Amino acid sequence: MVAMIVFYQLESRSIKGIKEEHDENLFYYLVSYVPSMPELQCSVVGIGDECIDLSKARAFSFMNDDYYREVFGHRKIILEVNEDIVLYNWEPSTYSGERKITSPVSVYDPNQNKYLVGVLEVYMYEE
Amino acid sequence: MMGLVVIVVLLVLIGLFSLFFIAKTPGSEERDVYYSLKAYNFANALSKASIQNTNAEALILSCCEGDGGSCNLFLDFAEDNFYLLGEYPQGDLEVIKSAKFELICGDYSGVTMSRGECGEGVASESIILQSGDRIRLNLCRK
Repeated sequence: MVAMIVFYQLESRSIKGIKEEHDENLFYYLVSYVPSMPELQCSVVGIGDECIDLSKARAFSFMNDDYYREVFGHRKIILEVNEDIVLYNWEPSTYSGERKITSPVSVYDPNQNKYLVGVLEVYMYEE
Repeated sequence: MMGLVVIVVLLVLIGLFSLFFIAKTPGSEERDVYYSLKAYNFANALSKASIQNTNAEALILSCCEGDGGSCNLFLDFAEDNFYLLGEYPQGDLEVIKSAKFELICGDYSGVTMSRGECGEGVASESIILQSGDRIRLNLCRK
């Protein structure tokens, strides 16, 4: 009986640990994934470039699709470049705190035909 | 017989504790990947940036052809943007102490210019420009 309880406790801790590790990896991964999303990435005649298109980012900020909730979960993603563009935000009803990671990104402004240096901020809500 | 049982139980317990602590160790490898990505993203953003009505690639090209003014303009721009690498402290995540940005003209035997100081850190992949010149960034953690 004792062995079963110990085994169950260890297993549930292990599963919880794996889930936390997965969330942590996804958190870091977003810094690389978001700029390469076709919805945001610069492209010339269909060929992607390693930068975020400012006009696509502005349009994306108005998207409110359940698909992105499945991909990003309870997180907030902001692009900072001359202005703050909230690309995505799904705040849980209650959370104890938030963690943030940032990365510089290349941003192309088609109106000015200029490449700027922006910052991508990813927040994770901790429940 | 009793002694053997005690030894086996102790060994099992030690094994379980070891597994528990190994599992609890935070993934520093993931963080290194994150810092490396961050460094790469910075170098990539600089390689494309528009700087005073010209672009970084043209500045790098003339810098590597011996124009000191272009070198200073580009490297100053890089250094001025170091602050974008992180707002710290952010818990234990943002622990960047310093950064070193390097411009290597031609192949690795060519002239190297740099800004900032960082001995051993997490390096970005080198970005190779069309001219064959390279830029890269090293990040040092606290």
